[in-house]
Amino acid sequence: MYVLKAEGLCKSYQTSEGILNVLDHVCFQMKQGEKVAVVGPSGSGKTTFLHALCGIDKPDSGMIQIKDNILSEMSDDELSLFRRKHFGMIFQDFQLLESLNIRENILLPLILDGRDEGEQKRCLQQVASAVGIEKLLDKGITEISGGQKQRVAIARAFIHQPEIIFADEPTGNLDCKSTTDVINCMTKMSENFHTSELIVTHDLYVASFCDRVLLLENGNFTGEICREEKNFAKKVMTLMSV
Amino acid sequence: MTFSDISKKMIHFHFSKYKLFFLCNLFVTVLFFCYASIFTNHDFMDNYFVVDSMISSNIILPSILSALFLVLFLPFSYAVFLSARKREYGVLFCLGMRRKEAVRNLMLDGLIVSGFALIAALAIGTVLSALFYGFIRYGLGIEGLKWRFDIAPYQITVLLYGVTTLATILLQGTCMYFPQIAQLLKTPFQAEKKGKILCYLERVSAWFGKSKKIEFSFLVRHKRNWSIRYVMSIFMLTAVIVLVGLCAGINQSFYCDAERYAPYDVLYTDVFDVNYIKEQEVRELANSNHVKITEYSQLGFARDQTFNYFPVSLINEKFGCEYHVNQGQFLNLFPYDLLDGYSHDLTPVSHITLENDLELESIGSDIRILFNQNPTFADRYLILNDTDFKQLAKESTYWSGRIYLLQLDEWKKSADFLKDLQLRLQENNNVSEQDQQIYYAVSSKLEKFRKAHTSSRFLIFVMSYMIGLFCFTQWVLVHFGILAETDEIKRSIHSLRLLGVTRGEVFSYLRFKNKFRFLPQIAVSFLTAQILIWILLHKLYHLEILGCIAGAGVGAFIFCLTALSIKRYSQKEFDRIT
Repeated sequence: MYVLKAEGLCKSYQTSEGILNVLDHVCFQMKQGEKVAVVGPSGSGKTTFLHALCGIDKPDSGMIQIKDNILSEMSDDELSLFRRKHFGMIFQDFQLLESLNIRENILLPLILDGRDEGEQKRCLQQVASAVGIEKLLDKGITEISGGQKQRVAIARAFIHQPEIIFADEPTGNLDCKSTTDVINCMTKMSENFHTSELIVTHDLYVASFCDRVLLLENGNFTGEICREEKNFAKKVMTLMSV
Repeated sequence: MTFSDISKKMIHFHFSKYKLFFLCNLFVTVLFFCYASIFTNHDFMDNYFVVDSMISSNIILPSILSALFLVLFLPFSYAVFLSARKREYGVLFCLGMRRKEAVRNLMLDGLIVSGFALIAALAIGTVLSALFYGFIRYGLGIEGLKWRFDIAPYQITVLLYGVTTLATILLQGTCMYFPQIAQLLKTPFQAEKKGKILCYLERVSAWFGKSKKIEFSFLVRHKRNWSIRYVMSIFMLTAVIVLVGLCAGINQSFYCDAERYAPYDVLYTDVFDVNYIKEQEVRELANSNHVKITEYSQLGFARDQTFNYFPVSLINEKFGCEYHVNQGQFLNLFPYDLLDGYSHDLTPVSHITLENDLELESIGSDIRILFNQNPTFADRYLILNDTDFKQLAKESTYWSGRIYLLQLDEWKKSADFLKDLQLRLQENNNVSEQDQQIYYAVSSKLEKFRKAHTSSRFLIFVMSYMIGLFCFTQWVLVHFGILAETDEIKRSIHSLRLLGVTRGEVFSYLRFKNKFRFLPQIAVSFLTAQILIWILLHKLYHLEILGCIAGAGVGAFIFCLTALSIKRYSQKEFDRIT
């Protein structure tokens, strides 16, 4: 059973040198609970692909189906509500709101969904302890390190127990120690909530934690490795050295 | 915790941006209200006896500019206010906030802040306009003008502000509906292209052997925001230079007007012997006031509701003209100087029928100022053949009278003489002072020059107020623009320092950047303003050269002052960044 399915995705941009086809009839499927990494050289369209799948950017053509819902058939309001309930997002630059403290940042998805205080408290406790930031909750965003910020972003992405997590270079701004922490947090959370994850990354370490690694090049997938395959890690390393 | 708790925290966090938006609205509205309180005052605009039209007409241009300023500046300040919050809303959209919720929040925010700004502006504007009136009355000596509460300036301010604000909030507030969320998330860090102009300038600098790649890279930030800032700055600086040029030109034109429209030092008239005073009496009055009459002459005339009629022989003899008007003919005379900057109706009358059924045909027209203007005269002047004039003067339906023309040895010292003459005529006529002013006033060169002087001071006052505010606003625009990019500059400079760039080099980069932020708009405004001044003053006594020189002077002054202060400004920025 696929939780996410994309067919014939196309996206192009007008540049000074002409039209650049970033996504060229891309097809993709992801199963419930699966963790997929999309890798590829800079400018290969990984982020555009992720933005199109989670509905924050519109593809020029193609179809995206999440469970039984086709994104292009949804109105903007329906898509917002859908994102609110079913998606969690993690960004390379965290995208936390400096105007709010850590507790409020984490609670945002529940607040937007109008959940009551009791539920907010219970969910917050659960995610904060899972990512190890219970003691930071009343601090401001500017008072914590990059690794801690990313853990806050992970807590925010998981607090409403979404079905799919979209992560755009979640460890791109972090050192080795913080990268390990963040990956451990994400693994722990996705196991707890049985969440599917689509991760765009450059990091071999991050990719090696996924069930499937796809190589995006020149607007389309040119390589794929599954965890079940023999010498998975070696193959991922080879794939990422392209 | 609810979304309204979160909203309050966000407002608290962005309080400085709300404050800036509030202050911008307050500032432009108070400015406009001050002008509105004057141009809606009927005594000021329409009552010739309280404020001369020469003075009141000076309020029109600054009022139009302040209205234009309000209409342009409000959308700009709202755009800046919005852009500061775009990324925040981008994140909320990612988390599932609906666009209409965001638009509703933004519009509500904008309307509340704008509403408070309007109330505060009207309150402060009321106080400031009372001070404005006080200065006009006591500082400039326009004593007839009094401040009183009037609803009209409030109405016009609320209307202009309301329409502009609503249109701005509706148009810009709804902008959250359109961009892709990914676009909103990128807003503060969006990479921008150098653009043709910068590329060209970079190449030009390379030709001179100085490649300034790093310096130009500092300018490629928030190109769109800076484009808007440059346009606003050009508008304001052009207005400043044009206002100074116009001020110089118009100021001089007041004195040219006084000179041209008052060829005689004193003029008064009598009609049917009303307003009559013996020559001897006039001379005695002059002597008692230490003024000597060097020329005393009189000229017969007749008038009806529309025309003043003069006999041709008297006009030729007195003013050295060579008009030939035969019986049954007349000549249209327009007593204007076409270079006075006003529009005049120069359509000649082709045919008139006098009371005794005498038909007269026009032989053409001439434009010439023969003597001073006076309230006794009708609007149009006709010169008739002597025989026709005599016949017309006999008719009881025409008012016949005499014009008395005086030249003095020192007209500048004639104030007391004029006052006594006016008083004596009023006593003789046994009329009120106001009637005397309306129907039998004495016209004089001194009075004309006094009005020119008051007009000049009023013009300088209203223009200075406007010029000062425009200069200040242009500086604020650029200063806040530079402050807004400080964080990014800081990052770039930190990277450059790591690469081995010295403190001195960093300082020179900042100085180069600031030159580009402050100076190009002055240069563009300078050129634009010169053209505008030339066009506007060309038909005003050919004062365009004076206006252009004054405009060039102030343009050069602003340029030099800015260029000099850039070093200091860059030093401060350097200290702040490092």
